[in-house]
Formats: sequence, structure tokens, C-alpha cells
Amino acid sequence: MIFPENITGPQFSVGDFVTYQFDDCELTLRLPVVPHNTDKVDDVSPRRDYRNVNTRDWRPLGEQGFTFTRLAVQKWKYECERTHDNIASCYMTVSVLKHTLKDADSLFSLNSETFQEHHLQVIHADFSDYEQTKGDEWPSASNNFLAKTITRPVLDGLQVQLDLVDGAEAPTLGALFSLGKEYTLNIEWSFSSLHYPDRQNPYSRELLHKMKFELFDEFLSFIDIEYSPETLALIQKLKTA
Amino acid sequence: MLNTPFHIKDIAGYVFFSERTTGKTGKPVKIHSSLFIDFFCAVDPTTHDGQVIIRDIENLKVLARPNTIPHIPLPQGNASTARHNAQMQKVRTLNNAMAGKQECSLVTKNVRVFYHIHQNAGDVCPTVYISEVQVLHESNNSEGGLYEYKSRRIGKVQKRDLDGRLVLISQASASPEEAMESAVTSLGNKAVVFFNPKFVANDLSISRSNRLSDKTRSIINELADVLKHNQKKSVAWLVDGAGAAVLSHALKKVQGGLEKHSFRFRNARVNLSSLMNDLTQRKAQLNGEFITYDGDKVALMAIAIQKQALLKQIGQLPSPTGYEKITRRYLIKNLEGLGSVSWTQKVTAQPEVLRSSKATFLSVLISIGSRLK
Repeated sequence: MIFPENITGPQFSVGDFVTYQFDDCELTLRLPVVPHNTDKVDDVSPRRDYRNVNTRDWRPLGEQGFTFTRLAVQKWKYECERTHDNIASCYMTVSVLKHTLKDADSLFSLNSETFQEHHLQVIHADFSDYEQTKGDEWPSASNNFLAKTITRPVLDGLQVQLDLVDGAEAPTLGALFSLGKEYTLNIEWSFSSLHYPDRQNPYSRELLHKMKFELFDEFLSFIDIEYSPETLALIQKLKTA
Repeated sequence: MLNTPFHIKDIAGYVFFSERTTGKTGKPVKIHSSLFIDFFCAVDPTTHDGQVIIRDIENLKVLARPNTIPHIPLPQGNASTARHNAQMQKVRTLNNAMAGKQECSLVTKNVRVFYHIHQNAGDVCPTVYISEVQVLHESNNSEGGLYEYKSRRIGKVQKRDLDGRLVLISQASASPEEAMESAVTSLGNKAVVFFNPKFVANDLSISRSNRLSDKTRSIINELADVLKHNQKKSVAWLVDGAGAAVLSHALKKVQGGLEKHSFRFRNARVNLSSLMNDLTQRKAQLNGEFITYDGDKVALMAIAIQKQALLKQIGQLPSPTGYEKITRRYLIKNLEGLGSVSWTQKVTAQPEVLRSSKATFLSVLISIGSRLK
């Protein structure tokens, strides 16, 4: 990706390939190489094989029965090449959600429509107490959390925007992809503008906003999910049923 | 005659910044040795940001401009009277002296470097003298205060009621998400975090006391209100990094005891002995190995600077019983070891050692930094 107006930072196109094994698929991510800094966050799970994994210590997500573990948590910054100022920061978490037994048995995640419907239902339920007062560009139940389909050859993913942190200057971008019957890949992406106490960020809010979406799309474009032959057969069967 | 700028009081304390700035090419760049501890805490030469800062300072040898006040030229022609010429001469002398004393600044990333350009006795050409280094961390607009998970959202705690809760007072962090991730990893899913934004680190340094900004004051007041609200309740606190300095200031605004509160410190960047003294007087619980350290060099510096006072303060805690005797012994042994790490003593001694050494500021910084690995 060509960054606008003298901005530099990690490029996904030269990131590290990291592959995780699941019961129904193999997931490959391209994680950015985070420059070494005292405040960097670059935690990538050393476990690569999640087949028959013990999930008892996974953390709960929301109140609808999902539990999760982190595959990667990374934070990196973008800087202005001219002034060397840090001008934006990106905080990304990549997690695996484990479905409840009932949900796994329903095979909701092996069909693009039911996968998106189910996750949107869960988000609506988790955000039922949330009142959005920040305007139309912010996600809410009434605008369906600005959901859109991420088209993929086998199973489509779901992109949403969520107000995950009180006081955040912009919503968090989220993407969900099916990892087979039992798991979902959940990506959360916060992008914030940085400034120093004695001066404002020279880059406009609009430019950084546009850059955020372009970066997110580029990161998603490098995600590769190879389903096992059995899972592919099951997906095909459900499609034609 | 050369006018020494009034800021440069201790000319013998200045040393070359690096091998590249000794005057072989461009202007020589010198820095005062007393800035070593601040620089060591703020700039890590092994990091990307640290290397950019060092390169920019080195580039002062080419980019530093002497001053911006123009020298007043001699009057042209014979139109002026002798009296007028004498008055003009006075103005010119004063103005040119001021120009020599003018302080310039280099702003790069989170470091502000203040310097003068001057040629002192012994200097072969005009030299850049760095007399002050300030560190101002960048931040976003996240608000400090108490946060907890509400379903899948990280929301502000409205009623400030922390009875029976585990609370992390975060280090200076970029966002509530980052602080919450640290809280959940350390204290479990039900943890609450008191989020300290990055700007608190601008005002709360271990080596000097800066004037507190309004924003930092408001964070301190917020924590003081939380402490007052929960004074009679039972709360277990884990205090991380610069969060300890925020706690130390907040306690000054709270009257009375904290009998039901327990405190643990991780990488505390504060004068821990005086904070412990305050907490002990308030009968707060300091049990087990309540001071831990996991690789933060600024925290280790803080321990090294106050090792004796810290050990003395621990000696004044109530006598431990049962298994506590063993953990207390381990704690004292750990602190003695951490306070005696050879490079921490080197860092604290460096402002004096550098003055009489031929080594450059940066070479010493790198050689001590490499011992951390």
C-alpha cells in the first residue's frame, strides 16, 4: 500500500506469514513486523496447533456464551517522514471465538448467511443496553452496526463497527470469519490519531479516517483460510440443501 | 570578547554527544553530563524511536542555526551625530549579546532538545551546547479513570464502588484497551483498571519534579476521589509503573486510614520508600512480595536510587508471621540484588564520571544499555 503524504509505517505486504491449525481449517495471517520500541505491543501466540485444544481457561466474550483466546495482539505506530512525529497508532487483536456446543451443532458457521445472521444477533444482544448518542457515522442497533459482507470464495465474512471503548474517538473495526464448525476468527482494529502536548496532528481527520479503512481492507486481503476436504463437503452440502 | 551565555554555567560539564559530533565534520555538538539519567530513562538507543532521536540530535552539527536575532549593522554615512552613534553602539552591543544567549530548540518525536551555539575558550569553532532535554509523550484523546468490562464493551465505572474488587492502577498507557488487557492478564476477567493516559508520564519523572499539568492534576484528583469513595471498603490494588506516582500524589489529598486496602507494586516508577511510609501510616496492607519487577529499566533505576531507604522502610513494617517471614526474606533479598545491579550504579554515577572521561555521551549510553540484555 502506498501511504499518503509522507506517512511511513509497517507494510502488511512484507509482514510475517503465521499459520494456525484448527480442526476444520488452516488459517494463515500476514502480521506486520512491528518496529522495536519501548511501548510496542507484539504478542503472537506461540501455540500454532489448535486441534483438540483445551479451552477451559479461555476468557468469556460478552454474555452470549462465546469464549475466546488471543492469537495476536499488536500495536504499531505510523509516523511522518518529514518531522519524524508519530501521527497515528493502531491496536489490533486477533482472537479465536469458541462456539457453544449448541451453536456448533447447529452448523451456523458453515453457511455464509447463517454465519452473518448469528453473529449480528449476538452483537445486538451484547449491545442491548448500549445507547448511541454520537451521530449516524457511529454504529448502533438501528444501523445494524454498519455491517457489511466480506466476500470470500468459500464462506463470506462479516465486517462490523463497534463502540467498544467509552470515550474512543472512533469506532473499532471488527471482522469475523468462520473457522469451521466450532470456531470463529474475530479481528478488532482500533486506529487513533496521535498528537503531542504542544502541537496538533498535522494530518486531517478525514485523511486518517480514509487511511484506517484502507489499511484494514489490506490486512483482511492477506487472510487465507483453507478448509479441510470434509468441511468443504459439508459446506457444499448445506449450500445445496 | 566572548560572552558565555548565562545558561551555560558549568562549561566543564559538557561532553561530546557522539563520535560523529566531535567536530571532524560540521559543528561539534556537546551535551551536559547532568542530563545523562534523564536521557537514559527517556531514550533507548536499541529502539526505532530512540535511533531516530539520536540521528536527529547528531544532525544538529549541520542543521543547528546560530540565532534568529539579526545583528545590527553599523550606521552608513555621516548623517548621525556622535551621541546618536554612541547610543546605537550600545543597542548593538546589547542586541548582539542577547543573540548569543538565545536558546534554540530541536523538536523530534517525544524529545525536545534546547541548545545554544557558542564558541568558548578551547573551542576551535562555534559549538552546539545542549543544556536541556525534555520528554513529552504523544497521546490520543482517551480519558483517564476507572474502566471495566460491560458485556464486551470497556466502559467507565459509574458508581466508583470497588468493594471486594481487584484494581490495576495502570502504567502510562496508550489506551483503555491496552490498560484493560494488562489488568485482565494480571488480575483476571473481573478486574477493574484505573487507566492513566500517557501524558501523566510527562509530569511524573523519577529523576526530577516537574510542574503538574492540569490534565495530570485532574487524573490525580480522580484517583483521590476513588480512594475517598472506597476508603472503608475492601480493595486490592496492583499499581503499575508511573501509576505509583499518580497514587503517591492522590494520597496527599486523602485524609485517614486505608485499613482494608492492600497494595502491590510492579515496576513502580516513584520514590517507593516515601509512598510505603505513607501507606504504612494509613495501616494499608503490604503483604507477601508486594514489590515486583519484570525488566523495566526506569523502575530498576528508581530502586537503585532509593535502595537503602526502601530497605529501611521495609524493616519498619510490622513483623511478619508464619509463611510471611519467608516471603519477606525473599523480598528483601530481591531488592538488595536489584539495587546492586552494577549498571544501575554506573548510570547514577555517570553524570560525574562523564565529566572527567574522554568517552562520548552516546557511547556510554550504548555500553550501559547493552548490559541490560
